[in-house]
Amino acid sequence: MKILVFICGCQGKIEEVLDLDALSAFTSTIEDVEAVKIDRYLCGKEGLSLFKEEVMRVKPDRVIIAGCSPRLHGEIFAEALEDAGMNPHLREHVNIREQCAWAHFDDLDGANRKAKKLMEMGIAKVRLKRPLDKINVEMKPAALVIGGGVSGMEAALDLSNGGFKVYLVEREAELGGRVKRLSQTFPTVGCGICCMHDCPDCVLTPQVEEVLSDENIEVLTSTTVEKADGFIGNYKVRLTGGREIDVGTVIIATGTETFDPNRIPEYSYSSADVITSLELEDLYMKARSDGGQIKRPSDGKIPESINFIQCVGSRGIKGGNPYCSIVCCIYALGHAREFKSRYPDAEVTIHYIDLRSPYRGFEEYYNEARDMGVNFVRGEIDKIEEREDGVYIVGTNRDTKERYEMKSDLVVLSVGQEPADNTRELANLFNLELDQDGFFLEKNLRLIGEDTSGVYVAGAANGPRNIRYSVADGRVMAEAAIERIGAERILLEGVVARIDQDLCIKCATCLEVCPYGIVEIVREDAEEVRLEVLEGGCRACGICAAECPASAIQLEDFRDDQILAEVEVAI
Amino acid sequence: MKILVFCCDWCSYPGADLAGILRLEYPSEVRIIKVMCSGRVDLMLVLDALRQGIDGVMVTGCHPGECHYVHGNMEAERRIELLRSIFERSGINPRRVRIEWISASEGEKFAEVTRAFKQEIDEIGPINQGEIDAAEIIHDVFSSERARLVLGASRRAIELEGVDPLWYKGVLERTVREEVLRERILRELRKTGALSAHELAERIGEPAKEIFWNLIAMKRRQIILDIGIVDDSLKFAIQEGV
Repeated sequence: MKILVFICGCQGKIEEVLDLDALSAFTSTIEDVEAVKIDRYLCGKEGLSLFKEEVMRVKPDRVIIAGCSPRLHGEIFAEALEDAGMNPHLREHVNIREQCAWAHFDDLDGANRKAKKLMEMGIAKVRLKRPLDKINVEMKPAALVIGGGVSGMEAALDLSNGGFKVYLVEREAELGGRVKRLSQTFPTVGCGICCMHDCPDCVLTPQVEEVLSDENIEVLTSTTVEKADGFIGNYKVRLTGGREIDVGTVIIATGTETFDPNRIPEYSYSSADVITSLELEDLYMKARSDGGQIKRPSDGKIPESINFIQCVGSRGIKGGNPYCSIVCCIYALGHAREFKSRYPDAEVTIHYIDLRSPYRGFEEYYNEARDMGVNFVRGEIDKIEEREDGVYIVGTNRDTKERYEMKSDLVVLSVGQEPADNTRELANLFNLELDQDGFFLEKNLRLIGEDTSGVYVAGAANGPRNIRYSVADGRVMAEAAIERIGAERILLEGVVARIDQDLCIKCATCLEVCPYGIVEIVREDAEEVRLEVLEGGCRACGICAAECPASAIQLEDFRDDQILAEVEVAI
Repeated sequence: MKILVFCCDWCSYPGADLAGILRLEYPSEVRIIKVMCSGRVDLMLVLDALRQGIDGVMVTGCHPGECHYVHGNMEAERRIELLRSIFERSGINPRRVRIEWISASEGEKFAEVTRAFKQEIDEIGPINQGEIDAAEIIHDVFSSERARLVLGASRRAIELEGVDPLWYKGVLERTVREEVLRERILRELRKTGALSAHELAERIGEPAKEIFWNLIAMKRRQIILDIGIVDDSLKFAIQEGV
């Protein structure tokens, strides 16, 4: 066996700690090492061409790259090896930068000793590597979009344009999601992409119309997902009512719920004139068909004073969620301005803790609200009380620490966003991870092209989003899916678990422990039953290999013998 | 001191990288072995390291709920916890193995826990021959089907069938303890040829009654056979071909 070793100096950043000549001399003495090349900048253009030339000249059986973490430039060297006509799995990275030179910069002896050990470990492992073929997975050019809000609809339209058959599933009876309930959007106010207001003077809601008239999109309202099996490019999904669909990709755009103010009893949400911002939207909607006047729920009187309470259920206030819900400041500003412009004599007050108005145009919007006469009080509300003569707000001024009290005809609680109630259920169905707040864990956008699940999450299901970013998200995820699934087939890395049929005792433990359930029971005939890993669905965790009672499963590139060989020389 | 750290590809390996990027020092004795998921770490691999003389093995993975492979880290935790409780009764210091959650952004935590682990291993000293011998026996137990079957069924039992986790843990520990005892019986028989339950009890230091029941179970599984009464006691020997 011929092993070719490259050692990278990383433009001096490794050399200043490690003696590369000594490392090279040591490496040359290891059995099977054909040649050792030191380069000062192996991942650079010149370094890479030297790398390829050397590989083509020496024609080694295995290659070692000692330098930075394989997580950084692993792919570059895999591609370079392929260019040089070698199977990329026949290489091993020895991490002498992050996990040696940099971590032990103050311990030169230790670092240099460790570098040699790491080299030995890498060589021990690379000897046992096998060339692996890429796995060819056929993709079904169909998509399931869960959630018919702005983000889901945008994704559906984009997927349809990309040539996909789209199933758009919405659990409510109509498309539109949260935005459908909003009377206006702020600060643009106009009928933008998401105008879906059921107002009599404007029946058409552009995005919904576009979705409904798209022949590639099948809209399934009052429908939810019951079951999902399969893997990237090949999902079988059962919907309520028993219908089964085959799709290649799934986009989850289930949005958020709003915080239930009953969880903060001090805010007296049960009082008729203490309402949430969404209920204020309802009042605005109602006004359109009811003479244009905003009337408070208790007695139908037009409120002379209206108070907005910010951060209800957000930023950890009164035991609410720890994060900022992003949209509440702007919608409260919008509502306050709208109310003030309709009723200039009304007392309109916003009780805030920190007013957040990022993005261009939003700060100006806030300043205009001040000019219009909207009052701002930096106060944390202790309680809202219904007394005999009306509703009172009791708060503490954050700046002066003084208590204050205000009587209010109408109190609006600016409720925040939290994960939709079916988030965990969907996460279980599609093997997705949740973050600490219960939203779907956001995937790194830079790595989304390498995703091997075919399942994407768009919009506020990832965490609070405003409309604009939810729509953008729908587009981003649809594009990612089109790029990944649209090519009819993809080639996945060959790192998969394999079952040795001679050793297998058919206990099906692998099937139980597989996070993706992609171990299949294959019945040849009445006698012959086999367990097989569906290659396209295997994501190479190796849990089955560790759990297999008969030790009959091996995960390529991380086989027992390879790890044991590393352990043996690590001592 | 020889310290082995298994790191998963998604959280703790990049966490270890970050420790380097931030120039946070940790002991240079630490040897990292990369796996895709902490759930890949078969106990057999951990035990193999110990029997070869590694002084401490740490398995690291993503925080609970954040595993890239949904529940791989929980499987790893279940295994390491089992191993520690087995060690407690087998003469191996259970502090030689531990599990830690390190996210990709916790370079500082990686440096901290490896430093702390090194310090702990320094305190308990290098692995001794008694511990290596015990690790050897437990290694063989975890390479054999029975212990692996009971361990492999944990997830189905606890997560899917709703079996009380504490009760199942008891079953697991009992099974492994029994298998350890049987392995020790086999070793004695291999050394000496034929022995009675009382003679085995003396050599192994476990009650004769328990040894006798295990001898019967092993006989039933045709691992050993009884060769009749010799010197007033029933003697057992290893079945040929075992």
